[in-house]
Amino acid sequence: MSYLNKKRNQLIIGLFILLFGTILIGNMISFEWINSITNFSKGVSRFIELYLPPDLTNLNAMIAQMGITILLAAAGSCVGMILGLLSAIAISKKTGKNKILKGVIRFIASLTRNIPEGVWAIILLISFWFGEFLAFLVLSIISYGFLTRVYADAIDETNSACIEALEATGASYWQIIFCAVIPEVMPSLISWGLYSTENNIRSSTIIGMLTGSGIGYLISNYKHFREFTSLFTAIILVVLVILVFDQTSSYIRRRIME
Amino acid sequence: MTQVLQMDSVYKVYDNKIKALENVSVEVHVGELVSIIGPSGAGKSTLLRTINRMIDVTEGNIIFNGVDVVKANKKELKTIRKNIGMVFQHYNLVYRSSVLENVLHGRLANYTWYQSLFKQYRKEDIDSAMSILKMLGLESRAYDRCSKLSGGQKQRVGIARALVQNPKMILCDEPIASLDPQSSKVIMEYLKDIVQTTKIPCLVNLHQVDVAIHYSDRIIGMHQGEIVFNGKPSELTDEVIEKIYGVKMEELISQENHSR
Repeated sequence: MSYLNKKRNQLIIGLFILLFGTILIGNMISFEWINSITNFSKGVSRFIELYLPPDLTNLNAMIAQMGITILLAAAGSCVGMILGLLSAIAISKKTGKNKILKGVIRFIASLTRNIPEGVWAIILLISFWFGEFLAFLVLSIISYGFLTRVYADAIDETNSACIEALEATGASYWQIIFCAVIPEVMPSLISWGLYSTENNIRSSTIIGMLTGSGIGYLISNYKHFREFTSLFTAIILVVLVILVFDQTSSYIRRRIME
Repeated sequence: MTQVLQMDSVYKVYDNKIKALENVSVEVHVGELVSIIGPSGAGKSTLLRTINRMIDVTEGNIIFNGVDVVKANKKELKTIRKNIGMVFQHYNLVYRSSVLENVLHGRLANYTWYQSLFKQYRKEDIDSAMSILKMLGLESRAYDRCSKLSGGQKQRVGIARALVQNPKMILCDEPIASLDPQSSKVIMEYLKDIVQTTKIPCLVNLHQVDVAIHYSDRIIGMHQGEIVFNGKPSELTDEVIEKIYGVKMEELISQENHSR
């Protein structure tokens, strides 16, 4: 069974490479293997000592700031949905007409998608200063990049037969978009929009730390002033909100897809 | 008989040098149901699509309702398409929209883009759509989503969409190729009925020779882009069928029986 032997050898070689790679890179960054194991219990007790019990005194302020974070996330993905849909119509294989416009929008969308949100925040910080508007701008940019891509894919994948039929009745380009393309991709539009909002809640916490807005701003403040018990409460709040939103949006998505 | 369509020595060569149509001349008159038969790849679909210029011809003249299709500008083309209803093999409906909306899509050419965005269809159009649905026995399904319908019902919605245009002519691209025999019969009966009562001529691509013989007023046989037969169903002899399909009549039927 030379074929199976070969497969087994490949697996063994692969595992060795993984193991050696881990050790080699660990040594390169001078990771202390023994300390990390022997001091693990110490780390846990330090965590308990620092973060517990969660401090609930500032909960009202936290909830208010969380609300701002959620609003920013939703507003950002709304802008992303509208602009993303228009761009997707322009770049999709089925609905794109102008080649130059296609190229330009593809370039902008991939630029916005491939620069991480933190980098956008830092770049735009120079022009827009701290605050909610900056966070909104960054979230809009990243949702736009992401949604343009997935919406264009969604339009590419819909059945284009109805486009041909409407063309044959003498309908104009925009009539075909409104009456055939958008109804056919509506489930994808909504479900990807929800997914992007979900992502934005996560991102807007991080962006909040950089731009000084929402719950992220509070978290960075608590860290700065070493109020770790409050920090822990804020983090729990973020996790709870994300969990709830995740469940709701996947429920809505299931209902739409039917 | 009034002539609706006149095609004169039409040629179509695709980019990959495939000759889809070669010296094709067709005339269609009011009140006629004309079938086009021929093997796959004979150019039947191309022929239909050159009439409303979904495909541009390479050479030749097409006069529809007194307008030159080949030389038509954008506005004229819109009028031509407005006056030609089209029915497809795969129905080509917007499956997430309701039956009524799909039928009303046939009227889109009479609306501006914002009227169609906000679905401001005129009362008389909705009434005529409903009466056509009633005629086709789909009145009770008017507000259902098209994805819920059966194949035969979907095709009836396709026919309704073509009829609501008040067309001067209907093109059917293999309307029954995806349907079971019973639904096929219903669809062909409706088409025949429409042609007889409204006098709207109908040009139908068909795969089934027996159906073509049974329902058509005239049959056009195509083989490799050329018209090899044009005449009454009674004139369609075994030799002619052999010329169209390149195989003997008996083989053709036994193949059809196998596939069913």
